[in-house]
Amino acid sequence: MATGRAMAWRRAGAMAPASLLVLGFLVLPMLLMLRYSFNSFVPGKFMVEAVTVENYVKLAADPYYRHVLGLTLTVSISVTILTLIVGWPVAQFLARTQTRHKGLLLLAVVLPLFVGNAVRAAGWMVAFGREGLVNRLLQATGLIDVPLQIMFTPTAVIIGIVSVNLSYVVLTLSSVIEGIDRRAEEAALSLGATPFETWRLVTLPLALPGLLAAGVLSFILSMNAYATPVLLGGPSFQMMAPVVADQVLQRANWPFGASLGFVLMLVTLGLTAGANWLVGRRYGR
Amino acid sequence: MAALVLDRLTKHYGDHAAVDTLSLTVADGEFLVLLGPSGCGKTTTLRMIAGFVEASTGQVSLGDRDITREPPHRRNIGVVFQNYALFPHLSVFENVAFGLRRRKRPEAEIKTRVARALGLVRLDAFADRMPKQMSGGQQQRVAIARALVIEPDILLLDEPLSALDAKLRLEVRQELKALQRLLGIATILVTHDQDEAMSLGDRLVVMNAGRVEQIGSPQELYRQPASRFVASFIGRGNFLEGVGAGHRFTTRHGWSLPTARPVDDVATVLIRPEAIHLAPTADADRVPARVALVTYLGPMTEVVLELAGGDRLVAEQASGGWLDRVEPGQDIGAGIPPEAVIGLGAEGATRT
Ligand SMILES: Nc1ncnc2c1ncn2[C@@H]1O[C@H](COP(=O)(O)OP(=O)(O)O)[C@@H](O)[C@H]1O
Ligand SMILES: [Mg+2]
Repeated sequence: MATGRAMAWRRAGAMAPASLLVLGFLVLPMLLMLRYSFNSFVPGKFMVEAVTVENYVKLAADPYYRHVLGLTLTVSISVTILTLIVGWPVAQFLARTQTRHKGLLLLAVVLPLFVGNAVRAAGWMVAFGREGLVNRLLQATGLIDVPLQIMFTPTAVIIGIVSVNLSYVVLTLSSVIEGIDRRAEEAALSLGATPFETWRLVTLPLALPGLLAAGVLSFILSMNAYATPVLLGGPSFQMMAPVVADQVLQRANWPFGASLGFVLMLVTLGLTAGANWLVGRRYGR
Repeated sequence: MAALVLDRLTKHYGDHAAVDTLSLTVADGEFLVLLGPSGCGKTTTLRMIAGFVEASTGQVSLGDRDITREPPHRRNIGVVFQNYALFPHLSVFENVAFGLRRRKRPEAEIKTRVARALGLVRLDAFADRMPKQMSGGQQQRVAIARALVIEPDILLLDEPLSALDAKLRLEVRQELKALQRLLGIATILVTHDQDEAMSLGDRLVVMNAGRVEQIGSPQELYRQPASRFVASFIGRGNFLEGVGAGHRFTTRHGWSLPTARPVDDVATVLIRPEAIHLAPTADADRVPARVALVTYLGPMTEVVLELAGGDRLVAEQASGGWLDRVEPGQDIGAGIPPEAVIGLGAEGATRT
């Protein structure tokens, strides 16, 4: 007992510097923003010290912001589902391959991250244009006659964000799949399960915690995406992060920007916690 | 009819043969043990039978079915793994029911068959547990029940006991033996443990570097090992090198022994430690020997002997009487009956 408590204290002591750092760099700015969100904005005088919920009321009352939040959610959920579906086969291949060049393959997965989001989005802009690579390819293969409008559509934004998130999702999933006991899969096969049944009844359930982690990661990244929606979605395509930035940078309305930011964070947290709870309940973990 | 026939089964990894033209037959209801050192190809053999790896060449037949190219889920083979490989997200009941559900059996039948299988491994009361709430021995018994419940054509076990601690290992070993007898199911068990192999197998297959070294009953392998490899892998022994001619073997150090069988062309003989009869003094039947080391093992006493010519022998004899007072440096007599001198084939002779 006594030694246990002493050890707990010692451990707490060892963790103190890191905890202070987290507190200083993450929690304090957030508390500051929370406080800002209850301030009042007076045109010409900017932020005025107050304790009011007027920002949140405005946010809830204005259908425009509900639309922005709804669009952000739609895009993020689509991106999350897409990254998981596209990422799984790649991750499974990476986790199970016997090749000696695994290091190179992993590097290839991470490589896209070396290019910043804005630069990558600029690349997509070139590819998505009316005369861009994608339209040329589609026309060359005879799939379409008239160039498609891809730029400034939700499709462009979703493809853009998927291409960013895929690296994270593949890395997360492949480490989870690597941890799955292949003997359990072989046991299922020997008991008469087809390869697909084996995947559905053994591999997938065992990968579920990792699938959740990868999904949450992808979801959070898309909820907060900034450069990609701005560059590929164009001026009329409004997602939350650009709208927050617009309030703070263009209109200097810190209180409203802060309240938007907080709602974004709460919705993201709420959905993440909900997904966690659902998965936990379904698989009794 | 034979339950399983392997015909010149071979598996190459690159240019290395993990299993090399391996042929064997498992009779109906037989308990066959594959025995050999780590890396000799036991697991690869089992995995080719189960269908988890494809054979490079050769054939696997189950009854009258050629299953060499059959995918594992259509083979109806029960497999038990060293690490149990239970489904951690399913209850014990669902683990055992898994194979029956894949076979679309009615719910009532599943209930009774799972209950019976769990009864066989004495885990009736554990149906609702999750695997991680059970001990290693219990988990392995669930794995055995899960493999048996589908009434497989053959049961394969890959070192099923080696993850258990020593006491449990003996317990599960005996249960496994009794269960196999009761159900009369053809079984192949892989192990590198000779005691396990001897106590479980109706027949043992000794493997070395991907090939069969010898196949036989435990008694045959112990009494008439075909090679030095088999002799040293099964039991312990004294190996004497020299030249054989007719019914005589002469060691390098010049000691000449009579043998029961002719030993022409034999270069190595085996003498089991317990076949040497020790007496306080040498006589007509016993050569003089000096005690170099005495180790008391309880029921048995082990004595290391040095013969006049320089040959060394390890002898083992029931403790008690004069043997309890024997000391290093003492001169005693060692009798070696001619039938205890076993000629061994040249290294690898049986493998070609
Ligand atoms: N997937 C594989 N790739 C390459 N070599 C392998 C593979 N599996 C087994 N081997 C090799 O085949 C030989 C036999 O292995 P294994 O059947 O596991 O032996 P055992 O079960 O008797 O210890 C070993 O030399 C091992 O390194
Ligand atoms: Mg093995």
